[in-house]
Amino acid sequence: MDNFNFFTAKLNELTMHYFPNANQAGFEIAGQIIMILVGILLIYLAIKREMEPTLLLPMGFGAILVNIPGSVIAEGLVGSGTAGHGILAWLYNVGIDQWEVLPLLLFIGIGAMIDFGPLIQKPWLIFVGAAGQGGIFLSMMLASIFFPLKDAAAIGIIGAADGPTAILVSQRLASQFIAPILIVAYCYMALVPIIQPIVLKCTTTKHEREIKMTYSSQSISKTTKIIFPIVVTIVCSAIAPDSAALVGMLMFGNLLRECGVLDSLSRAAQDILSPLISLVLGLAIAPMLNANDLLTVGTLMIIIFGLLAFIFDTACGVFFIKIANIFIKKENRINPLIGGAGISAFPMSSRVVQKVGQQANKQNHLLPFALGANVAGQIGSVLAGGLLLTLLQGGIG
Amino acid sequence: MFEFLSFHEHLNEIAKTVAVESGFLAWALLAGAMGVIFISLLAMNAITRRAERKKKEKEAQK
Repeated sequence: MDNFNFFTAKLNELTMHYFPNANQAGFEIAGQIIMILVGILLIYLAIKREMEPTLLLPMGFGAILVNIPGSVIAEGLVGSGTAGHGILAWLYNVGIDQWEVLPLLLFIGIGAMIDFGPLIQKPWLIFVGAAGQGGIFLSMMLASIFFPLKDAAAIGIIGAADGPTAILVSQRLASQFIAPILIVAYCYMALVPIIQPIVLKCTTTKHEREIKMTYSSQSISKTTKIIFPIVVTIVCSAIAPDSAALVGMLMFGNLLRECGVLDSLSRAAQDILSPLISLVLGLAIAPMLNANDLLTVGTLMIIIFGLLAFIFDTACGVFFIKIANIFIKKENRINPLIGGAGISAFPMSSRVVQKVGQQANKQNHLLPFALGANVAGQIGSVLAGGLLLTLLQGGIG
Repeated sequence: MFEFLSFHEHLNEIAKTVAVESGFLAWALLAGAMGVIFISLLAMNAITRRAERKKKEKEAQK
């Protein structure tokens, strides 16, 4: 079927060659021990390194729970062929597998956190958000050499730098790599402050990074802020019907924030709903954290393609602005670093752009532009996810 | 010399072509959708500013 299966078969062949006396039970226990260590590593990263703690902490603990020999907590998982009433299996079946409730509810919280003001003030930044999704499609094309198309699309969506979108797309496309995709996506999101500065410095010259931009703030009426989420929902749902749920929930959250009559609910969505759903989501994904699914060549390749997706995303945004600068008068040129913020990792990516910009020119203040590009990247990532679903669920894959 | 591809290889070739095409198609559709949002934003901003200007003019007349 594909080269990926060939690699897996070769790995099994090599394992049997070097460990001819190993039996299935031995491998199973070794796998469980490794997965418990992975769980401890996730907890360490969450606590010591503060990498996405609301998600990695429950995921790490869930990985330990699921992999304790004889554990029944994940029994009854849809598609596993086991019967049982494990609480984590129930969370996964209801929250992710059947209705994708958890990632969609999380979007309400995320929407309530976003201020689209910088984007409404500078509408051209929306195109940076479109260019910044290039990594999704480029890495999908590369991954399709080794993986079936639907899995390749699910791997590419790691580049969206958007956890809920990654879960939803890989789930709807019935990818067999949901767990590794989710772990890799969240780990890379937490690594944005390390990955992006390197890519930004490699793709720009010092002279380009020094370009100073002046920001003129304009007032935005409340009506505009209220109409914006409604317009975006209608446009995106009309173009990619499968993005309706993703965009709709994100924009509903934003409407809660901007309407001005549901302030307490808006605050609840930001401060309570969002971390609570992340926590439950982390536990719900735990039944997938088993050695059979994770300790494969596929996971290793997902780590590589995920990194490529992030690099391509940043580079595409930067090169988009470089190309735009060719057509812009010299005095109005845009700092290409802003292109790097056209991804969904909010507000980390904006901060990275501001920091790298200030390293080149201390008088540079790119943050307002970067924030606009960043929120455009959020719209772009959910739309990209919806478009892939629309195209691939239509039978192409 | 021309070589016939096996059925398996044909499937692989088709899958890769579809991946490339659907990748670019999705990116183009994304840019199109963002373009529509851009035009909507410009229109919204223009309408709002016009309304604000008229409001100020009315206040000045009073």
